[in-house]
Amino acid sequence: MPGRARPDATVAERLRSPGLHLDTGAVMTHLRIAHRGLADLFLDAYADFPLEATPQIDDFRVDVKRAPGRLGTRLGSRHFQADLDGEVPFPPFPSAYAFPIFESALNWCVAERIQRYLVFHAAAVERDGLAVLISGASGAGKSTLCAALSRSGWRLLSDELVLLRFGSGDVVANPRPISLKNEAIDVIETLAPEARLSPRYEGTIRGTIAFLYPDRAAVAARKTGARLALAIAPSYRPDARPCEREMGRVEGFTWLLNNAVNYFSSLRDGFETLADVAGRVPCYEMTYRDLGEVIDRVDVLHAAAAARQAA
Amino acid sequence: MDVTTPSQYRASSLDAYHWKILPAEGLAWRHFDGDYLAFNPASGNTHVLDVASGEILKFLSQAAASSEAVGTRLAAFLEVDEDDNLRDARDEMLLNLEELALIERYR
Repeated sequence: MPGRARPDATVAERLRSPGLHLDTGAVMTHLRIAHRGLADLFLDAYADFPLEATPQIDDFRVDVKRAPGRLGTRLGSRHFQADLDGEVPFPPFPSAYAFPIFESALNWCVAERIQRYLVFHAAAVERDGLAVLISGASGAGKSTLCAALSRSGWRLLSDELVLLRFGSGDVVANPRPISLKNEAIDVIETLAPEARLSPRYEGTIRGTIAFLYPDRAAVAARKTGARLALAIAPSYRPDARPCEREMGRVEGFTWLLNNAVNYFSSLRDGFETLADVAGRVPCYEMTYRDLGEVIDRVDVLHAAAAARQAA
Repeated sequence: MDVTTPSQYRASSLDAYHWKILPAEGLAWRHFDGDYLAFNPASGNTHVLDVASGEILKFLSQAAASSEAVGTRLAAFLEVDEDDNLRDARDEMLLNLEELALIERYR
C-alpha cells in the first residue's frame, strides 16, 4: 500500500490546537484532533487537501478529544469522543477505531447540518463534465462500484453523501475517502494496486472496513461540479445473471426521494429540483456480478446520456 | 317513497359545492408517464396521483370551479359521456383530493 511522507510535526501540533480548516470542496470543516494516532492517519488520508490555518467560514466544527470519566480508561484502552458543533452524537470510541468513527462523524455532520444542497445517500463520479449518481441500500455495492470507477478513468465527486445544487440539480464535488467493506477491499486492491488505502479495521458492525483515499486529480478538482446525467441503483449478486432496467420517471423520482436525506425539510425547492432531475436523468436498476461488466455498461449508458443531453 | 341510491346520494351531495386549491401558495406538480406528482407546500407532502385526478388539480389550479364544471372537464378529458358512472368517479376523486388536503369545497 503506497504511503505519503510523514507530515510535518508542526501541522500535527496545530491540528491538536488551535485546529485547522479542512477544505473538501463543498464543505469547510474546522478540526481539532487531540489523538496522535488519528492525527497521523488523518494527515495521510487527507494529504492532498488544503489545511488552512487562517480563519475560514466553517460549516461545522469537529473536536476529537479524550472522553471524560471511567470510559476513558476502561479495559486499558483509551477512549475518545467527537464533539460536533458542541454535540456528542456518538458514544466514546476506543482509540483503535478512531479513523472509521472520525469518517462517520464527518458524514453525520454533512447529513445533519448541510441544508443548502439536496443531500443523497449515494456516491457520484464524473467524466466529460457529466456525473453518474450511484445509490442503493447498504451492501448493494455502490461504494465498490464508485471506487472501481474512480480508478477506471472517472473522477470521484463524493462517496456516501452526494450534494445536488437546488435549481440546476448539478452535483457539487466533495471528495473524501471511500469506505470499502470486506471482500471489496481485496477487489479494489487487485484492481488498483497503486491506490492508497487506510489500514484495515476488523470487527466493526459492518465487518472489516478500509478506506480508499481519493487521488490527487479528484482533490485538485474539488471545486468543480458536474451536470447529473445518469443515476444507477446497483445490486451486486455474484450468482445472478447481469441485467438492467430503466425505471419510469415517477419510479425514478420515488427512488431518488427515498435516498434523499433532507428532501422533507427542503420543501418546494427540493420537490422542484428532484422532479426536474427525474424528468431528464435516466435512472437504472443494474444487477451485476463482475465489476468489469458493470463498468462497461456504465460507459455505454453514460455515452447515451451525454448524447441525449447534447440533443 | 323515494329511494336514493348511494351513487345518486354522493353525486347530489357534491353537486352543491364549488372547489378550489387548498394551499394559498398553490401546488407544484409534474406530469410524467401518465401520472402526476403533486407537492403540497402547506403540508410538505408529495403525492403521486393518477392522470385523471391530476387533470382535476390542473383544472382547479387555473380557477375554482363547481362540481358540475369539474365533471364536464373530466368527461372531455376522458372522452366519455357525463353519466352516473362519471359522476361517481368524479366524486371519488374530489373526495380523495380533499382528504389529501389538496383542495377544499365551498358553497
